[in-house]
Amino acid sequence: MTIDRRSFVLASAALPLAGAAFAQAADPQNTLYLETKDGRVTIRLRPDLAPKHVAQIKTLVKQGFYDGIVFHRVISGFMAQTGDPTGTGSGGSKLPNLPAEFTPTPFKRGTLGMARTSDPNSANSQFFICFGDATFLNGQYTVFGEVTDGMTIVDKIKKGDPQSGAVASPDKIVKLQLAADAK
Amino acid sequence: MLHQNPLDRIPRLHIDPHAKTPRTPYPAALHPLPLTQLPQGFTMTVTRIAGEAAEPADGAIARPRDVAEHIADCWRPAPTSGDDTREISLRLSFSRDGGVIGAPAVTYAKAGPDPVDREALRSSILAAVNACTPLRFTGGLGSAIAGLPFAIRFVALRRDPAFSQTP
Repeated sequence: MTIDRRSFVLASAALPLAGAAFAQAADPQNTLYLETKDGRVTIRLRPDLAPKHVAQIKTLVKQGFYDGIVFHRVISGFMAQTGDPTGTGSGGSKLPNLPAEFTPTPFKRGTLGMARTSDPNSANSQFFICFGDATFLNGQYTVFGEVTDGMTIVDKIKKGDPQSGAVASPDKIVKLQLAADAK
Repeated sequence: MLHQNPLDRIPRLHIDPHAKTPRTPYPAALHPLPLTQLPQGFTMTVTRIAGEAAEPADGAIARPRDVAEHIADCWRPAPTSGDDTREISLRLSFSRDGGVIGAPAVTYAKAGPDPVDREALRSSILAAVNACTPLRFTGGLGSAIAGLPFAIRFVALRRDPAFSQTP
């Protein structure tokens, strides 16, 4: 049996697509697609770590709550924060605040955590995506997901002030949807 | 011995027909309710930060003011989505043992133009009353305020920027 160059190239090109298809099919009820102006980010939710947080995020996603919300605080090398409909960092949804679900899971590149006030039980709708390792957050904030594909898209989110993270003309979430509901 | 007519001890009522101030049909000494009973009840305002939790204080309530504070500590208004302050006024009365007499009446609510927000605010304060009552009064306070109306204005301020959420 001989394999010509064209077949090899086609097969090679198909492999990543097959992998992506497999990832989509893995658990569409716990996979999110976050669309920005630069493309799609795939997020795996971790109900095994934070069942209450994941349930609330999914509820808000199904409401379309996050669509159009800006990344209001973005610090290069640290994280991009979003999920505040007021864009100020002090807003939230109409759903109740969540009790902390802290775990030893480390904060590293691609980890999604829930933002909160000084009250550990105040997470509501705001979350952040880590650009790099952030071990000083370990055990202090709830980990509820991780980016499985598209970190290069996350890296393109417009950065803010290096200290405060405040962003002028910030990027936004074009759409955040559950993989099971994706069209 | 000359017996004095008891009616002579009643102060004479003098009414000036040209007076512009409202007149009472009773001289003060014969007013049907002693002023110390505060027949108008109590009016007070309590303020909380929206979205912030508080725990009701332990111990029996000894002052009327603490009635409002105690209910406010049970109140969980949802975080505000904008920079607006929300307010709701409630009129209710308590029995001697701290239970609510009848149903509390919401007399005023300010929660923006969205009727869903107004209903959420109304539900949150009624839930607070349900959760907190019966209140535990000291014996003296329970006797003093039983049946008197409380008009309480609850104010939910938006979060101060110091309460911004962060990692």
